[in-house]
Amino acid sequence: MTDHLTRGATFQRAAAGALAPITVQLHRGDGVKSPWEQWINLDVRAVERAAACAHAIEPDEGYIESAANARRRVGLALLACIRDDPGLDPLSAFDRVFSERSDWFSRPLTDWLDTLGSGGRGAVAAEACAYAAGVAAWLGSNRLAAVRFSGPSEHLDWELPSRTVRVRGRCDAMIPRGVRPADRRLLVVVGSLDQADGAAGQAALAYTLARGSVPLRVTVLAPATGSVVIDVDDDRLEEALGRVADAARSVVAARFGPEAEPSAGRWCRRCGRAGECHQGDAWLATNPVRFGGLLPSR
Amino acid sequence: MRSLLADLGGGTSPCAPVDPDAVGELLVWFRAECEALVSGCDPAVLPLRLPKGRISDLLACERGTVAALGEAGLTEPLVRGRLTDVLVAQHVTFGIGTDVELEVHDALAAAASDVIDWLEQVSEPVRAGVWAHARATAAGLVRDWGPIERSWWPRLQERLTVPVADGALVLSAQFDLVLGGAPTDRPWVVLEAKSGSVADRHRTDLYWYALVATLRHGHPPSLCATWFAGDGGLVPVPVSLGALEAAGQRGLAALARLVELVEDRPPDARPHAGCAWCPALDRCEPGLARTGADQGVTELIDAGTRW
Repeated sequence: MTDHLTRGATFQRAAAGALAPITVQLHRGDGVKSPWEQWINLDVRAVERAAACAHAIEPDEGYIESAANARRRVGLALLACIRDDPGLDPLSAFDRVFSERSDWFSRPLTDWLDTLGSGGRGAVAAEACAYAAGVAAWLGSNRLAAVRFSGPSEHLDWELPSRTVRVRGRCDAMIPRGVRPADRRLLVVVGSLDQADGAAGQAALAYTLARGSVPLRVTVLAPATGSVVIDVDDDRLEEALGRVADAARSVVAARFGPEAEPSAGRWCRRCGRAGECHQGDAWLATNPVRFGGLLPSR
Repeated sequence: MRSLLADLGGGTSPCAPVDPDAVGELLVWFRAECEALVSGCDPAVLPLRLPKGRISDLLACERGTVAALGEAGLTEPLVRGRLTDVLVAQHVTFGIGTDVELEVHDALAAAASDVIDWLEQVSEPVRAGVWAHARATAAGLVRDWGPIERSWWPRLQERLTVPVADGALVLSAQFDLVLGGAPTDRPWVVLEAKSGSVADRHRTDLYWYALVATLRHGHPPSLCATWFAGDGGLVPVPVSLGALEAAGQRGLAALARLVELVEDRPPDARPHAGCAWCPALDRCEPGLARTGADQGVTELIDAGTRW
């Protein structure tokens, strides 16, 4: 077995050993198929939230389909078309993908796309083409041809044995192609490079666990700003696993107690406990929002 | 617009290419000046942000800039601007059909836009005025732009964010429409669409956009231009080294003021043409004096520049 596979298997065991004791209350019998709503995803958002404050919870806003929310999923389909048909422009790729939408996308997204008139289609095309053009411009035509783009709803999922818990990550593209080749490089597209370290660590860990193979490096691309290349070594994977374990503790504490101690900061502005957390409310009262550095009331 | 894109696509450039070495030196100078200005700032107030609107505001009047911070809610001018953006997107992607209202509403719904609620809540005359503007804009796009070839790879609302001084300062821009450039073999064109009529003051915004784009990609766009839906005017701005330097000097002047304000210097009031729309006007003596004295002029400005 080659090194990247040996290390992948090692990290799978390490993850199971680290997460199983924390998630005892989320037990499921071996081979038992649990309903999807019982599953807890330890994804990059859960990890970031727990790293900020173990007491924090997601605001209960509900998910609605929109052009902005469809941007990446439709954009990935456009990129796959452009790769396979060099010379194709994003709008023509959109026409093709839209006409074959039930083949490309999940049922909920397809159903939503079905409801759109010409204006709605234009709004989705504008978002998806901007995403695709940003990635294509960075890759360049030579690298574009060699890339495997993720499917629109594809995740890097690893289910913790005997638990209703999965470690979840995502990447937008991989190179070289293949199931789990050596020297695999991942591309993760983000909105801001402030998120680069966390996004790279989570993607590397999720890929390692899901594929049983350690990638060589992760490139994090924020088309608006630039890109950073992050090598994947054992330290980075262990750090990412530690953050996932913290997220697991936070999730278990939120459901079964005892409640974790709050740690107030700017994340309180987007916390579902705002208004019922003394520390968070005190922080918000003494830290008014600045607008690019300026305070509004002078 | 048609002839402009035809000329650019055919290899005719409106200005001489900018020397890459000189551009590189200019970027080094600008970054160093920014770094020097923000180096003493309290980390608690960082990052400072300097979008184009804030530059104009700070240079016009500091007190008005601070008073307008956090002002939420849509206004008629904002909605006209948003609808212009929607119509540009629709024109560039699939073309605008005969029922403009239906297509715009459909696009706003797909974007989960708050404009829909605003349109339902305003009075009938305001709503009628907004839709009349939308129909006129749609007609202008068809008349002035014609179809945009897909090989330009049009990108709507493209954002650029440039961290400076290790992220202590964030420069940003959002272009209404970008054509050509890196993913294509065509010149790189940045287009702004304004809902009003031609006004020269938007030229400085384009220079700033050119500078931010150059900071992000290391080389300037071939051309920046503003199209005005109000009268169909097109103002192209060739991007020269001098234009980039002017944008840098202007940005630094605004940044110097921003740094002083976050360090608790009281904001100065400077009467200017925009006083009539300032939320602090009722408690600003210089502003009241200006608007009182210039009432007639202000009305002219209102008619000519608000949309």
